Amino acid sequence: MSIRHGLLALLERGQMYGYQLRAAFEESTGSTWPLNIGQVYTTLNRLERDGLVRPLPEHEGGQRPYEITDAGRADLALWFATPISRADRPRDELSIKLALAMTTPGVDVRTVVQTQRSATMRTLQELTRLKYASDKPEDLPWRLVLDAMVFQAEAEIRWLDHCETSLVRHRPATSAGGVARAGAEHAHEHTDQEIHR
Amino acid sequence: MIEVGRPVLDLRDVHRTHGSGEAAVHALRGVSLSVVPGELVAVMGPSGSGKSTLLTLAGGLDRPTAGEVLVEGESLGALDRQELARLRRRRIGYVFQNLNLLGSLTAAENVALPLELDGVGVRAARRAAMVALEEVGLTGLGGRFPDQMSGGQQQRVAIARALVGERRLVLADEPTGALDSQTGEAVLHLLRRRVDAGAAGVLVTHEARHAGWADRVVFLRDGVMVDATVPLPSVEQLLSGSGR
Amino acid sequence: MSADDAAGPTAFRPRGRFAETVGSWRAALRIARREARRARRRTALVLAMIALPVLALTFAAVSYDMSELTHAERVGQRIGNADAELRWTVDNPIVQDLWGDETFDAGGERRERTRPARAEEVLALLPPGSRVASVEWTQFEARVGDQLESYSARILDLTDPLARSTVRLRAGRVPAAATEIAVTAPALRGLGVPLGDQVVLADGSRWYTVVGVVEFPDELREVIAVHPGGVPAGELGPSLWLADLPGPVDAALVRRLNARGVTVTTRGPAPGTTEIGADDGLPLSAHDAEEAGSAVLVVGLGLLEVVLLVGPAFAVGVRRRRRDLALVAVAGGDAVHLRRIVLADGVVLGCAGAAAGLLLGVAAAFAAQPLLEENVYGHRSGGYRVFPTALAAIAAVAVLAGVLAALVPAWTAARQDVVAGLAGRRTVPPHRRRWPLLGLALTAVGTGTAALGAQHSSALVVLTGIVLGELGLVFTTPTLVAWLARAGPALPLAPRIALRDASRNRSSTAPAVSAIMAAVAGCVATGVWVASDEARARAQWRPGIPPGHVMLLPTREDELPPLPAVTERIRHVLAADSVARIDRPVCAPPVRDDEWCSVVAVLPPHQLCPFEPEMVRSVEARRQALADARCRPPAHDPSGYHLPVVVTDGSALPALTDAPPEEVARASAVLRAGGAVVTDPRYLHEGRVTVTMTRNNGGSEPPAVTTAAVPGYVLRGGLPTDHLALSAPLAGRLGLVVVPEGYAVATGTAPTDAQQRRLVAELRPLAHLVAMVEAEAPEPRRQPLLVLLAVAAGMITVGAAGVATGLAAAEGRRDLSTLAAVGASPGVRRVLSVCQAGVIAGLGSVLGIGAGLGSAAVILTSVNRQFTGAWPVQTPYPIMVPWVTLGVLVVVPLVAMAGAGLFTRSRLAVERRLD
Repeated sequence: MSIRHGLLALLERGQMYGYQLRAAFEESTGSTWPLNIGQVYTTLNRLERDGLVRPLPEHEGGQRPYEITDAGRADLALWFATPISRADRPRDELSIKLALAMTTPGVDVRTVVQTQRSATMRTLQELTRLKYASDKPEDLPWRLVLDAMVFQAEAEIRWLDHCETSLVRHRPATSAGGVARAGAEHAHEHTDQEIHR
Repeated sequence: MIEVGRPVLDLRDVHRTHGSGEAAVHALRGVSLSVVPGELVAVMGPSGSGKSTLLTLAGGLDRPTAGEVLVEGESLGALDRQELARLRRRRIGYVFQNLNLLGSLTAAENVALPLELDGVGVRAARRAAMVALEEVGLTGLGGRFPDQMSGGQQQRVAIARALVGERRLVLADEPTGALDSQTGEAVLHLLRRRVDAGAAGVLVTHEARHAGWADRVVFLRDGVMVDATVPLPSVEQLLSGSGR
Repeated sequence: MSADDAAGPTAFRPRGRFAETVGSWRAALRIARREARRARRRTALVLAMIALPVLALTFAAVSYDMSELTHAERVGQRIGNADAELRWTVDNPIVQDLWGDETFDAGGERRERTRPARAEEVLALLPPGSRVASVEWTQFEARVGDQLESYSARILDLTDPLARSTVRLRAGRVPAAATEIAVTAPALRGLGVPLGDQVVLADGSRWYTVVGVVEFPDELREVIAVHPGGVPAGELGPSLWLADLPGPVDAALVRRLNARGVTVTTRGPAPGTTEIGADDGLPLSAHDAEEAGSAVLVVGLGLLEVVLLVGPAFAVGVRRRRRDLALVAVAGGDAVHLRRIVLADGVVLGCAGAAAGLLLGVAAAFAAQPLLEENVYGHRSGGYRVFPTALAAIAAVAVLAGVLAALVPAWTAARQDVVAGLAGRRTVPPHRRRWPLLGLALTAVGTGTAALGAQHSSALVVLTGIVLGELGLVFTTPTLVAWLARAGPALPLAPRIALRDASRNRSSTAPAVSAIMAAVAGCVATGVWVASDEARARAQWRPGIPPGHVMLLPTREDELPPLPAVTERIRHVLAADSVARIDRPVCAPPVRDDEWCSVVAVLPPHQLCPFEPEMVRSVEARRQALADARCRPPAHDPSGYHLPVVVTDGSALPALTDAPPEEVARASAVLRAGGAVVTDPRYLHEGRVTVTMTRNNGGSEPPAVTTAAVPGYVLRGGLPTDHLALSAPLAGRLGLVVVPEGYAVATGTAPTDAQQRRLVAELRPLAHLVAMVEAEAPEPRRQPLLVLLAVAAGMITVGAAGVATGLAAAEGRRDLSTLAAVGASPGVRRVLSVCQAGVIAGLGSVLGIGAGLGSAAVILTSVNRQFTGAWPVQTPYPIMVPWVTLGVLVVVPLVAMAGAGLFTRSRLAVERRLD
């Protein structure tokens, strides 16, 4: 998702000027994606450069509305038609973090997992709270955006749960406390060996 | 009306062991949890982590091996079975994943059940049940038998029953387990609304999405509380951006 | 296994119908076996209900078969080691059958033996080297305490090995002298003396020492073995001889013996004889057919009861496995397969129950055999054997019961909604109007049939009607249960749930209710019948002598001892008010063999009933006849001993009629004046009674009639039985003489059995007399039977209610968890169980009592209608309510409810460790 295609989609509804675009954008994505007016104008300028939008004569208030061009419509249609591929997303920092945590001595992976889970859970709660607060029918697009984020957060928590279970299996121990202790002992051993060497 | 701050449910260093000696299974090992009015606490954890045990202890269906359970300030350890049953009738509402309703009773009769058990007159109980059913959006379906209702409707009847009368504590064990995502969402929405109206709730679930409805989430693993989220800020704070 | 392996690669080719059936049955039976193992309690319940009747029937069949001796066994028990038993009773040639049971004279005149045969005479008929021993069967009357006891006795020399081989010595030794006897164990108990003690004959003439305890295999009851010479030989001496022959018994010997009038019995059929009058299977008479039909119906009722009791268990099994069955359907099972799976339950449990019942029954029969031999059959059995034909039939019926019980559940299982089953949803069975309609029709037909049968006094038809009616009611119960559930909303919680549950689980409730109904109805109907029969018997009871008074009648034609001596001895035993000698009139000698005399009082012409029996056929005539005092029958024939005509001076009247003393005094005055005394006032006309004496003869001449009109007196205040008392002079005038009949004793209280026996013993030195006492009005002596029946029905009620409640509880475990969670106190589950038991037991009892009273009323009314044409008027069967039975049956549901409350754990499934 880009601001570029977002603005194009909004202009598809009809001509709008900068502030209107910003308000509409935030309304449809919630405050999850705050936008400043500068970003809006920069993007509009690029779109105009590429021939995807066209500025219209200024209103008496000095505001210049924009409307979408045919090329813009084609671009928008292409965007809707193209699935977002996994590779396009930024690399998952969390998975890299966990992988590193497992191989770095002195780091308790469980704590990393739990901290992350609490944080994600909290995000999830916040999202749910927002969703719960918006129960007007016209809020549906906004709620669906929230839902997308809810499901992503849920997926992350499930993945974290999975990691945790795998960790328990990985280091045979009877309890959660045992895992942490075993890890610590292992670390000690390691240090001792280093000292001996 | 709502005494803010005084917990409706208070578990203090609760232990529960099934069996003894070699075969002993430690279902809960030193769990403390308190739930105040207007608060919904989700309990998460994999199967066998002690979630359901926690709920049966909170509902007085089981007694802890050690520790104390208080409901509205009253310690359950001091109560006999009759008194526990009365407590469940008057102060605690249960919602299960399924098996919630008595097949031999109509929806209204099911909702009126705790009141009737408590000796409320049939008419008064029926009236209260009708009101409760209306609140969960089942106006006019009071005469139906559970067999004649959908899963979501049945679960809504169960919630109506859990909160009929003056009960302040709702214990829900996977209430959305047997329902599809949308219907489950609606049930949780309902639960949330009732909690916001002043009840205290404990929601046992293994789905993070459902736990998201809670004000606070505790994680159980092997009978120990491993971590818990802190209470959320209000919606206004969230919307103003300061919550993030 | 190996067959399956071999079939391996080709196993998927399409198979024939037969293979398909075999395969699906095999799978179904396997599932049923596993299911039986999984649901242990239910299995145990079903097994018990099938196995118990099987056990009882097996026990009866096997015991009967073992006790039923073959000819060879019976003879073997009688003759011990001897080769033959000879019976010499006639001196003319005879022809005998195979076993010597039947003989008839082979031409020539019959010559009874007139003197005892001697051993030498018997031996003379046998081949040289033979030995014989005599056995004589007689009676042995001994004095035991202050009473007389009579025992059967065998006179035989037990020191002779031949005679010795027919007994087993249990203790002591065999009698070797005339003063010694051996007795069987029961006789020893009866005599009440220890071994080695002495016993005295009734007349006190001889004393014997009991030296041994013996056992006769063919007679285990009280027998006394007396040494020959120990008692005076009977007139004919020993008629039985045990013979030991040097060679086998051959046809020539039998012929020779038969020619001399001797009957031969050997272990096998006697050689050279043929079956006489062999019963070549007489055609089954109508009576036999009716009896067999009734037996079949009774067995059918029992089967129905077992099916109804077991049915609920299968119904619950089906409900439990709703999902499994749905999965079978998903996997390609059609209705036939589903039915088969449930039917297989019935087959497996029926077979297992039959096997268990047969095993236990046979074991019990074997174990109980000695006890039965001694206490029931009275002889040793032929050996251990099992009556395979009967056992096969019993087993077949048991398996049939299992299959029948599984039939209805199988049908519903095959029709269930697969989708609902998969979802675990319960579908409430839809109402089907045709079953209740069929049920009502059957009930009506059954009632009609029973009424018809009662009118024609055919037990078979009545029973058929009852079975039909009962089946009809069974068909209507599900609808009734469903109906009752509609009363739900008005009821408090527990009964509301119980009623609705009963309705939802109709497939298991209805059979249980039906089982109770059937048992209770049968019990109540029997109760009404018995109570009515007894009431009728009481209404018809007319004592011939005042109840409690004793008649002492001679058993020998000796001269009767004088009254004062008798009175004195009687007063030793009884507080007798009066003792009188009773005389009766007989024809004056000379009397020919075929002559007899009768004396009656004659009704004056104006007292005669104007209606002839043929006239009272019409209703109107009957009404008039009933209203006419003259047509009242004088009195019912008295039950028991009755002396219609006595000759007395009035002294016998108190003892015979119990009339008040002043009446007796007046009657005595009339008798002394040569008059007659009657009890029916209709005989008296203007102070006189007309008496006729008829001297009858064998019909060769017209009877001679003598009539006399004499002063009469009506004795009032005594027994309302028809009596005619004549004075001795009047008897003489009529051409009669007087013979003693015995003594009449008037007592204040009825003597006990022991007193009667002591009376006889006390009087023995004077005369051989028997005592007769008219009992009090017949007691409702079948009351214990009614209570027993009610208890049996009660047990079925409690059992069925228990089973159904237990099953309902197992079924409703989820509901109970929910109840607990909602805050039902622990008592609620108990109350719920009580209500469930109450619904089932109460409904069954109420229906059963209604059906029982109804059917009994129909039958009794029909029987009474049969009497409407009868003249003289018959006592109708009153419709009596057997209150004892009803009492028991009303209490039973309460017991069932209390039991349900008691045996239900009040702890709920989700409640753990709360105590």
